[in-house]
Amino acid sequence: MSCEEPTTSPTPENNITVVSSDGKEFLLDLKLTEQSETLARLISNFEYDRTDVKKDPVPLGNITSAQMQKIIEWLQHHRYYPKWEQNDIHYSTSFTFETWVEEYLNIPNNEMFELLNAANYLNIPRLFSTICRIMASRITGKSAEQIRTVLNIKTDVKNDVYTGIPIQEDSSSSEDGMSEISLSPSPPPI
Amino acid sequence: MPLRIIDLPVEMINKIFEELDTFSRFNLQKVSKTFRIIIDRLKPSFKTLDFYINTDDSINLIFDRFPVKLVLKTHKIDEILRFLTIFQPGTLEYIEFRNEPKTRKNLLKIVNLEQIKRARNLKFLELGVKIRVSNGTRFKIYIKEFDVEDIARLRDFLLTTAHFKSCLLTARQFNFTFPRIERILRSDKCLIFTINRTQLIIEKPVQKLRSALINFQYFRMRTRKVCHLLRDTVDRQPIVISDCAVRLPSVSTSVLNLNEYFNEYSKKGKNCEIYCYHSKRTKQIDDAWHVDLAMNDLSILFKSSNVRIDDLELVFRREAKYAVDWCLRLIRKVSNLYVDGLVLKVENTKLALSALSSFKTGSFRCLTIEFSEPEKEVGILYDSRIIGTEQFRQAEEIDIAKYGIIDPIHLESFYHCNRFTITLSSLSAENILQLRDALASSDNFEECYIYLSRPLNLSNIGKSLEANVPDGAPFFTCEYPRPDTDSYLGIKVSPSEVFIFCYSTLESGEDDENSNLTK
Repeated sequence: MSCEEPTTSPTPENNITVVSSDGKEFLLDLKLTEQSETLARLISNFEYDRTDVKKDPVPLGNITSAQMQKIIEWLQHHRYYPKWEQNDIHYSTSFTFETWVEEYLNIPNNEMFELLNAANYLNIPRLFSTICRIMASRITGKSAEQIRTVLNIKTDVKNDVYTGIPIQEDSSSSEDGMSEISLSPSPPPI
Repeated sequence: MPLRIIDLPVEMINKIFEELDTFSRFNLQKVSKTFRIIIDRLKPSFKTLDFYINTDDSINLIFDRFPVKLVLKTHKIDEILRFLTIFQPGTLEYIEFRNEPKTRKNLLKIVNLEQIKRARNLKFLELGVKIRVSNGTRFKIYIKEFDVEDIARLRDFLLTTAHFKSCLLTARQFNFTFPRIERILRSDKCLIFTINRTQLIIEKPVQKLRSALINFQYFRMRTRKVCHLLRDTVDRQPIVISDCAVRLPSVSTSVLNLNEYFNEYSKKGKNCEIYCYHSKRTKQIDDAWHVDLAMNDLSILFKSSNVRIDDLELVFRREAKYAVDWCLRLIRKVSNLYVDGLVLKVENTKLALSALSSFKTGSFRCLTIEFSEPEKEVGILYDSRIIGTEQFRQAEEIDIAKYGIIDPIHLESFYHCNRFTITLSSLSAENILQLRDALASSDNFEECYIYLSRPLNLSNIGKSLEANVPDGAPFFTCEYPRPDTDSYLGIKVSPSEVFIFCYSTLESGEDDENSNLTK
């Protein structure tokens, strides 16, 4: 299903080339790029949908070829789905997914987070929301200790919020008990 | 190194956690401080929260009708407080309390929470003999006995609660007779009720709400002092006042007038003496500045963001500059103030300009400006900045005849008015012709009085208006058809004043005074 080797309809007018961070090129159907707001805007700005415009390869520095492969698989599968609307997010305590989605996202957490980053970068709302819900389904109903195991994190809480029972200290956290990640965006490195 | 959840941007972690239900979020809070901070900042994932405080040291919490019993070791009131502060104010729509907090202090702790204040559906159940407050639109109270005092207190509260619709009172015993409760609840016809042996249902018809609020303007001031919850409830009601006056004539006296209530705050040494004209009472407050007390009372009145005053009179003098500034500051703070008739009694134009600029444009319909000293002779108005203000231009009726003599070049500033009354230094034949043409073509003009500081030459004016003026006549009248209408413009000219009015021949003679005037 991949577009890596477009054998079916290799008409350059309907495709653009994207380059992953490891230099691999992928030929993408313009129809597929509509699901990614980032790519759709780029195509619109550079008028790549016109046949008389020269199409330079689009570098995607934040996305590896493996992630790109995975994303293209998602885009292909959802090619004929209606456009994603924000209202489509419906709150439900039970997490149910399509079988295809469950198989597609049956990957380790670290790969899931990388894919989430990629979906966020390319602005594919359906994929982003689905990954968030899959991650939530892995957390829901679990105790704090189980969540720590699932997410592979150590605590920085000294005592339990409710019971007051001491919790094992996290040696990796800073001495003053500050959170591991900053809640305000840090300035970019110079 | 593999990517972990804590390596993701907070916004993305938020998106994942937003998908979780309340109890998973509680567990996440215990995972790490970072997660606790993130969860604390999220909106709750449910809309209703019920507390059931049991006789043992436990509280039943119900989230979205999914019950969980929590055994709490600390004091239960504090637990409620702690739980409520988890939620962002305004996000809880329904909160129910099943037991009475032990003391009033603890009750106030709870009701002061922003989460409670902003819950639209709040229930206090089984609160003991004394009725507590509720800001719910419909609520129920279960108590052992009801007496007349309870009902009267409840009535006073219900009448000042704008969004109250109905309440159901269930008691083992009602300690009053049917006529007594009828006298209490139906005295002002604002509440309707149904009663049987154990239940009393009180309802407020929506259309009665406005009149109830008008009648209870004074009561609302007392009500809002009961507790913070009531204060906020009262402050949200729109205030409608028929007569209001703020008189700041000197440094030693301030006067507030609200409908029939008339309070005079005066300085007595270091103390303040308040004389209430309505109840003929005098009260002395030690070590208090009268301006502080008067303005505090005024600020309570203007606390509401929605104030409508039929007649507002402001009397300002330079002497009471501090109080004047304070009063104008209060007026500016009211976000939605509408005054039908504004009367400014000021000492000079600077004060008048300050007062006018404190009102939003279009926030008053009629404007009258006079001098604060009635005996002061009306002089020429050299400073015409008032006429140029936007507030002045948007007023429909203007009366500045007693404020200053204005030059006829400002006449066109009044063409937009329905009615106006002014004093002019002079009026030439050319001026009156321009005025006649402008007013005849005005869509909204009704009438105007123009007083003159110097007597008019009737024959000159009559000639320009093409009217027959007999020699020695004290006045003359003439009429002109208004273009494109069936109405006429009538002009009555005497040496000291010009009266111009609009009338229609189609109207009945009984109702039309203007028609009678021409006859």
